[in-house]
Amino acid sequence: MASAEVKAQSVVNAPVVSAQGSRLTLRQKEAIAGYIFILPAVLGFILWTAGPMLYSLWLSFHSWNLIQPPKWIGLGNFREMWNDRVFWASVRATLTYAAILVPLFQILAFSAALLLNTKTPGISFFRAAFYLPVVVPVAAASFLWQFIFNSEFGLLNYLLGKIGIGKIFWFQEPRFAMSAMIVMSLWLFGGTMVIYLAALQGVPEHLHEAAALDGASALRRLFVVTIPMMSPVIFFNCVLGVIGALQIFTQAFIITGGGPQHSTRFFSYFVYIRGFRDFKMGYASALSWVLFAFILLISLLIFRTLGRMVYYEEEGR
Amino acid sequence: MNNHASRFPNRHSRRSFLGGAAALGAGAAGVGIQLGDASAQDSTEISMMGWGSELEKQNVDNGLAAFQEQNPDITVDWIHIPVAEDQQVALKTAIAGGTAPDLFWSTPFRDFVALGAAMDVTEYLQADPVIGAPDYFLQPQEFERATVNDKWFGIGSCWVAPHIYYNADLLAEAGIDPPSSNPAEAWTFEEFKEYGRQLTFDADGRHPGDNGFDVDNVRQWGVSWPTFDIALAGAIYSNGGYTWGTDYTAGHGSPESIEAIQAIADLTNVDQIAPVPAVLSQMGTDWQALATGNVAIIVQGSWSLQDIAKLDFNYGCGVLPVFQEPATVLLAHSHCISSTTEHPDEAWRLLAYLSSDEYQLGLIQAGLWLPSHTSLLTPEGIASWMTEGVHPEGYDQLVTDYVANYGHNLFYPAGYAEANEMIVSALDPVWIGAQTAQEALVDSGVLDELSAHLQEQQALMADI
Repeated sequence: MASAEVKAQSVVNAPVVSAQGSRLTLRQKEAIAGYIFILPAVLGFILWTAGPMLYSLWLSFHSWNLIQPPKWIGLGNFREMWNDRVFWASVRATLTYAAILVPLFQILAFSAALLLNTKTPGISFFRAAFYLPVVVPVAAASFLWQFIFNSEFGLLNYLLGKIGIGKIFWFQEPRFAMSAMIVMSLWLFGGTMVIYLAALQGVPEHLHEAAALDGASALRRLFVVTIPMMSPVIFFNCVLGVIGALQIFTQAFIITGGGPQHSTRFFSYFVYIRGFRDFKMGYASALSWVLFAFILLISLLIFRTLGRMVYYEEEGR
Repeated sequence: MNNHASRFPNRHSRRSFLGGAAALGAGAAGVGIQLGDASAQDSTEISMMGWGSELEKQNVDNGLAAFQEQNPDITVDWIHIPVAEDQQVALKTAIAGGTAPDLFWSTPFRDFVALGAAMDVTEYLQADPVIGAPDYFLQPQEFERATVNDKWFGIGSCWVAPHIYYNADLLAEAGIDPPSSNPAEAWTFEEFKEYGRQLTFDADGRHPGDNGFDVDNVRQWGVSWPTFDIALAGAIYSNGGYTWGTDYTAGHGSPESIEAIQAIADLTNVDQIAPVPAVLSQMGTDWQALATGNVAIIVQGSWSLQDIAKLDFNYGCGVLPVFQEPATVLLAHSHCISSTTEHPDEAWRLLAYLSSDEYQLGLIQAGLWLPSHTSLLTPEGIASWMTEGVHPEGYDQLVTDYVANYGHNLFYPAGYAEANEMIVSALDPVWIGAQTAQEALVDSGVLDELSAHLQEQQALMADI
C-alpha cells in the first residue's frame, strides 16, 4: 500500500517534457490550470470589488466632487460626520430599524416555517403564497405599500377606521413612518422562511421520537430538539438579517425620500444622497467605510456571543 | 470517427470555428470602420444628455430630426434618461469619466458652473441675430435664470409655473364662480379659504366649522396646496417673501415667508379644507383626485395640464389666490454646453435650435411647457400654440399677463439640492401641525446651518 502511494506520488511529481521542452510536473500543470480557472473570479473581485474598495478608502481622506482632482483633507470627512446632524439621524434611524426588524423578522419566518412544516391539505399553496412577496420587485411592492399606507385613501386606514381607529399619518409622522417601513420589510419573510423550512425537515425524526417517549411535550421538544438542531441555520439567518437590515435602501428611496424629519434617512440612502446627489464623493466614501466597519464589528460581536450558542452536530458541540 | 464526421458533414473543428469567428469579427469591424469613416466625412457628431417622459422624448426626437435635416453636417447622439434626478447623476459621472456630452440639460445648472463643467456662451448669444436680440426672451426672468456674474452659461428650455386647476362641475354644483385667469381679478387668500370651506364636506354633508364636522371622514376636499418647493414658493412670493436670493440668502425665515408657509399648513390643520399635503402626491398625482371629484381645487404646476387634458372631466385654470400681490414663480431646465466640448460651434447651433420657437411649440401645444419667447406672447404667437381640448378658456391671459408680468424667476443656487433638503426636513412637522413654521425654521436654528451652506456655495461662484 505504502509503495503504491510512493509510486503514485512519483507519477504526480514526474517532470513532463512538453513539445516546447518545458519541464512541468502534473501537479504544477494542475495548479496552473486551477489558477486559470479561478482567474476570472479573482480578476473580477480585484477589479470590481477590492480595487474600488481600496480606492474609496483612499478617497475617504479626500474632498472630491467627481470633477476636480481629489484634495487631501486628512480626517476632515470624519470630523464633518461628527458634526453632521443628518449623519446622526441616519445612524439612529438605521439602528432603530435593525433592532426592531431583525428579531421580529426571524420570529415570524421561523413561526411560519413551523406552521408550514405540517402535513396539512393545501400546504403547498400556503408555502407558495408566503414566498410570493420575495419575487415581487421591491420597487413595485413599494408603490403597493404606498397605497396601503396612504392616510387619506389607503386600505389600512380604511380598515382601522372600521374598528374605530382614527386616521394615522403613516408617512408624515416619524414614529409611524418607521413602523410602516418595518411592516413592509416583514412582508418579505418568505425567503428566510424557506431556509427555516428546509432546516426543519433536516431535524432527525428519531430525536423527536426519543424525546416524546421520555414524555416531552411539543413545546418542550421545540426548545430542546428543534431549536438546538437548527441553531446553525438560525445563526446564519440572524447574521444575514442584521447585515441586510443595516443596508436598507429602496423603500426609503422610493416612498419617503428619507423623511419625515430624517426618520427614514437610512444609512445607505444617506451615503447615496451625499455621493450621487450632492457629489461629495470623499464624504460618501468615508461614510461607506464607517458602515463597513460597523457591520464588521456587529458581525464579530454576533459571532462571539450568539456563535457560541450554536450546536454543530458533526463537531459534537 | 469517420461515421461521426459523415453524420455532421459541416462540423468545424474548434480551431476553424475560432478562426472563422475572428475573421467575421474583423470583417464586421472593418465594415463598421468604413461606415464610420464615411459618415464622419460628412458630419460632426455631437451628444446631448437629457431626460423626459415619452411625450417629451417624442418631441425631442422630432426636434432633433428637424434640426439634423436643416443641419446635415451635424449628427446628434441623444442620450435620453427618463428621470431628471438619474440624468443628473449620469451626467456628473460622465463628466468625471471624461466623457461629458457636448450639450446637457440641468435645472440647478449652477452646480455645473461652479465645477467649471459648463461653457460661457455669452459671446455666441450676443453674435446670434435671432436669439441674441434683446427682446427675444421674456425679461428680466431669463437673464436671472441663465446668467452667473452677468455671463450666460445656459439658455432656458421654456417656463413652467404653479397655478390653480379646478373641477368646473364641482364648483358649479356649489354655486361658486370659478377663479379667474386674470391676475387683476384673482381671489384673495381669504376668498380662496371660504370657497374651500364651502367645497369641503364630510359623509353627512357637513362643512368645516359646522357642528359635528368629521374631518376623518371627508367625502370631498375643497382645496389642495402641495408643499414642494415650487408650489410653496407661489404663496411665499405672493406674500412679499422669497425663497432663494441671487445673493445666496434663504428668504424662508422672513416674517412674510413664515406667514405664507403657516397659512398653507393651516389649510389642513386649522381650516380643515385640505388633506395633509403629502397624501395626494403619494397617490401619484393630485390631479387624479381632482378628476375623480375627491378634491375641487388644486394648486399644481402648469406642466400637469398635458396629463389633465387627457382625463375626461370638465376642468379650468386660474391664477393663484393673492396674499398681498398677484405672484407666481417661473422655472424650467436650461440647456448648457460642456466646457470640454470639442465642437463648440456645432453645440451652439444645436443650443440655438433648442431655443427656437419651432422647438418650443410642440410641448407648449401639448400643455407641458409655457413659452419663454416674447414672439409666442403676441396674438399670432398665441394662436400658434393655444390648443383646443388642452388649454382652457382664458389660458392665454394666464400666460401673457400673469406669467409675463407677475412671474418671478425661481432662483436655483449652487448646492440647491442639499439646501432644499434642509428646508423640506425642517418643515415636515409643520404640515401635520406638530410645530409652527416659526418654530421649525427660525427657532430650530436650521436657517443658520442653511446660511453656512449657501455661503460656502457662493464662494465657489466668486471666480466665475
